[in-house]
Amino acid sequence: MKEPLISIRDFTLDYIGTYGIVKALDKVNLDIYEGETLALVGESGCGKTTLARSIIRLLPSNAVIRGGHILLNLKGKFVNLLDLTEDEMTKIRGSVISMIFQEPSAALSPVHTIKKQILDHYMEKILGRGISKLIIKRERSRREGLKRAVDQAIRLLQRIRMPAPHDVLEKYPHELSGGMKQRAMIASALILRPKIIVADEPTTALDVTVQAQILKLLNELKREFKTTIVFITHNLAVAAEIADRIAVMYAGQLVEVADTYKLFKNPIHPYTRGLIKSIPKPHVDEEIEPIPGDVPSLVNPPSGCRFHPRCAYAKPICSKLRPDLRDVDERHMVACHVWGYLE
Amino acid sequence: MRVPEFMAERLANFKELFRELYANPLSRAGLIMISLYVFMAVAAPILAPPNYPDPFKIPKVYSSVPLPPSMKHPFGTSGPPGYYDIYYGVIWGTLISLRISITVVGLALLIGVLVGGISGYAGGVLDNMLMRVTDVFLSLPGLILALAIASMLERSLENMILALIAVWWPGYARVVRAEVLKVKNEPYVEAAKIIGASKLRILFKHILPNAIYTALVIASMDLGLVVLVASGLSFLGLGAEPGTAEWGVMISEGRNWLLQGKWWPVFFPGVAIFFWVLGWSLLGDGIRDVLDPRLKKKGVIG
Amino acid sequence: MLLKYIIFRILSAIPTLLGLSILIFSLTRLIGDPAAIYIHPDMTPEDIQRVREMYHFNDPIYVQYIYWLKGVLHGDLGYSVTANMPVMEAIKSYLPATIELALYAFALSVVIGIYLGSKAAVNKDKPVDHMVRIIALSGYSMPVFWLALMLLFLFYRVFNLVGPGRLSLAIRFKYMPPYGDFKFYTGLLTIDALLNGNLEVFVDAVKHLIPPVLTQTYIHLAIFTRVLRSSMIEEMSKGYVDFALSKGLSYKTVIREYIRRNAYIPLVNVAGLQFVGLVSGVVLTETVFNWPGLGRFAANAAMQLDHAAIVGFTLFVGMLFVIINIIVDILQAYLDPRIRLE
Repeated sequence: MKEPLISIRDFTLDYIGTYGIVKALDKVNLDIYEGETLALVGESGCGKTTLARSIIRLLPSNAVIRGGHILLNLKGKFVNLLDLTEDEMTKIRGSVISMIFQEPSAALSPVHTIKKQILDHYMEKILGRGISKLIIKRERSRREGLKRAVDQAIRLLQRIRMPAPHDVLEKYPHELSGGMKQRAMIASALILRPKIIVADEPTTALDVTVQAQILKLLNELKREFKTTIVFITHNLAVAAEIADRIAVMYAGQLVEVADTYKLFKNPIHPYTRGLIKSIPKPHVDEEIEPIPGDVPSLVNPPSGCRFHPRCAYAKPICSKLRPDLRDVDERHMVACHVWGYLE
Repeated sequence: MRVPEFMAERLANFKELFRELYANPLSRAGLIMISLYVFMAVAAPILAPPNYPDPFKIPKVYSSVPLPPSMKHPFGTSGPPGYYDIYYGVIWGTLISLRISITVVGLALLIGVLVGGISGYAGGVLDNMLMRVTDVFLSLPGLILALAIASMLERSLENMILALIAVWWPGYARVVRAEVLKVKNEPYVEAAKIIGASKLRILFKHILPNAIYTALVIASMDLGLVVLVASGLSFLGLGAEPGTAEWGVMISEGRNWLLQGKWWPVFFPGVAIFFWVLGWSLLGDGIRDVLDPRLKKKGVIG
Repeated sequence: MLLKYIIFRILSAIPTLLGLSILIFSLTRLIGDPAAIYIHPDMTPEDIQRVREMYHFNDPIYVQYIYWLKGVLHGDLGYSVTANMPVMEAIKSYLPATIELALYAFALSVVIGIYLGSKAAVNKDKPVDHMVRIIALSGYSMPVFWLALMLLFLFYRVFNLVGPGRLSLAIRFKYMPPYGDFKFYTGLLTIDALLNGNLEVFVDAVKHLIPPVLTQTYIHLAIFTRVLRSSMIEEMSKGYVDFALSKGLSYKTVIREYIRRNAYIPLVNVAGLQFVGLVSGVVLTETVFNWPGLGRFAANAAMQLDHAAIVGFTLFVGMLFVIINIIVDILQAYLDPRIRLE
């Protein structure tokens, strides 16, 4: 197996909250490979967004990293993203790792044109920062650079199948529909051809038909630009559509990681099985079986395997020792004392 | 829940309100300042023996030049031509300030709530006309309009208060009307209508109690600002008569000797105004922060 | 789009202006003899009779209103007994001094207010923030005339730097007509001094501007600071900040380009109100510094019951306010494209 693009090891993160310390991520281990689409799946509060944002290091000020590292494979060398300074991280964002957000209306500034919002980081990184603007002899090359940038944007928008790209560039966000806004955000995320795109539930806020379009679009773009996508969603069906591999999270712990097909054909972790059973299947005459119990508070999470209070198969060891992710099959890992063994 | 019961509930929460106000350092500071002023007002006869027959006329201390602060006269005296005891003026000025602020804010609030409530509830032509009127009033800065009105009337403290009320009510009317428009469509109002309650009853028992919160918060800060404007008017000669224990007019009297180095006749009354306004602003800010989450909770009245 | 909004805005101001004129007109009828506004001290009884006829004082009140309004639209606001000239002329002659003061104070309070508000927002809850908030709160609570007096005391008595008025006597006797040949272009001494190439006058004018401008600035930057601070704090938690950061823009750039721009919008609203607030503050400040502007004119008029002047001044300020509001609304539409589509 080739080397991963991103290697997350023993990553532990807490949030300092008003009611106590939220233990949001507990020793997460995950590898992400180049060119794949990995879906991070789980319910609200399971830590998928926190994990994804840790990759791009856009965490709120009350987040404290307790341990572990996130290695990025940059041209053969492994860099720990957590060790980088903010300035170095700024260089990586946009050009190496990019992000698209759930609510395009909230993510786009209402008082700036689409052109500005798609191109400003491009201009700054490719054409140089503010000071060099003052150098007069580069003035013409700046104008040319701007024109080239706009051309790039137009071509990208055309590929994303944005209607009337020239007009759209001059418009403001409130003049566009939800799908168009999301495409604009995708264009902005892609324009510097980053290696990794973190997509935080990009289709949740969209109409179902638009959702399908965007998913299809992301798939095409991924193949064409050879980007790696980390796709966050709480919706297993969406994950099935778009992901090559799926990582299931529960209450801050990673419980199962597998190729999509394998996960659905043979789900092993009791939580995963519960999740899949919870998907309503309209043409099957089956009763939905919800998982008993509630999602635990992460201020005082259950010990050991955090799922054990709700698990039908729990053994004494489950509450004492946290299970590691183990291979149960090729490209299929499970963290479970009861089921996570090679048969 | 009818209005009297609602009020009772609010009062029961008063202790909690108070505690929250005390917890926040800024509003606590405001609370302390205002308490000090209230104390000064209540204890005035003890702190500065009243001058008969009119305690609000500052007693004279004759000297050829203003006397600096001393044990006998803690804030000094103002010398010719007024010969005022500054300390006396500042203490009794507290009572005058209280009177001015409560009268102006109280009456302006009353008028504003009525006009705004009726306007917002009735809607249509009446609403339009009333709002045009308030717009016109609001198209002039407060001091200027008060100046114009007060100068047309005979110069006195009462007339200044009248002018200030005329200037202040439109602001409340606007705010109350906006809230009434929001509250009008709440489900409990609909419920009252369905039961067949009369329009007046709905307005006074259901809508207004919910619509006045914002105005009340503004009013608490206005108790400070009114004195700011009133002292400005008095300073210009349009309010209290010279010789009255009112901070603004004291400052205008104190100007005479300022450039000769006698700073205390101007300084102390000004400090009194400053902390008065500051205290009410901090308190008002605090009240707003405390009432705000409650605003969201207490949606259903009646 | 923007043009349509501008036209719409200007048209909708007309009813307000009309209402304002009615309000002021009613004010003029509050006093004993309304005709006093038009009366010259050296008029004969026949002249006075003619004035009554000209303005139709013997006719019903709505007719009087029409003739009063007609007069106003032709620039006839009556005669000021304190200034000994028609009110309109008095306003024109005193206006430049006030504009000079107000303009500098406004510009300074906006610039400093934005700077302080920005610093406070970015460093929320740290010492810088607390200091800025205290400055802002104290400026807001301080009586203008008291601050003016204190500064006058400091500058005149303590530092011995400068006295009341716009220019020192020495300079006045050296350059100003009728002693010298200083030419007035705008009425603003600082600008005119530069246009005259006269550095001495410029320096002297600036020196005299410092205390009153400082007074006005301190009081007014309070509001700007507060508004910008709360506006920026609100913007900082908005989604576009995360998005902009995720693109690899530095936090400094994001503040400068995105947060500020969005935060300015409520500021423009306040700025308009503040400019008119400055006018009322100017009344008190000019009185203290003996500044020959509109404010002192109005204060004197109020003290000496010069009704024509008071009415004229009030009308002028009201009109100014309406115009400023229109400008503010148009500026907001320019800054916030969402407003334009109405």
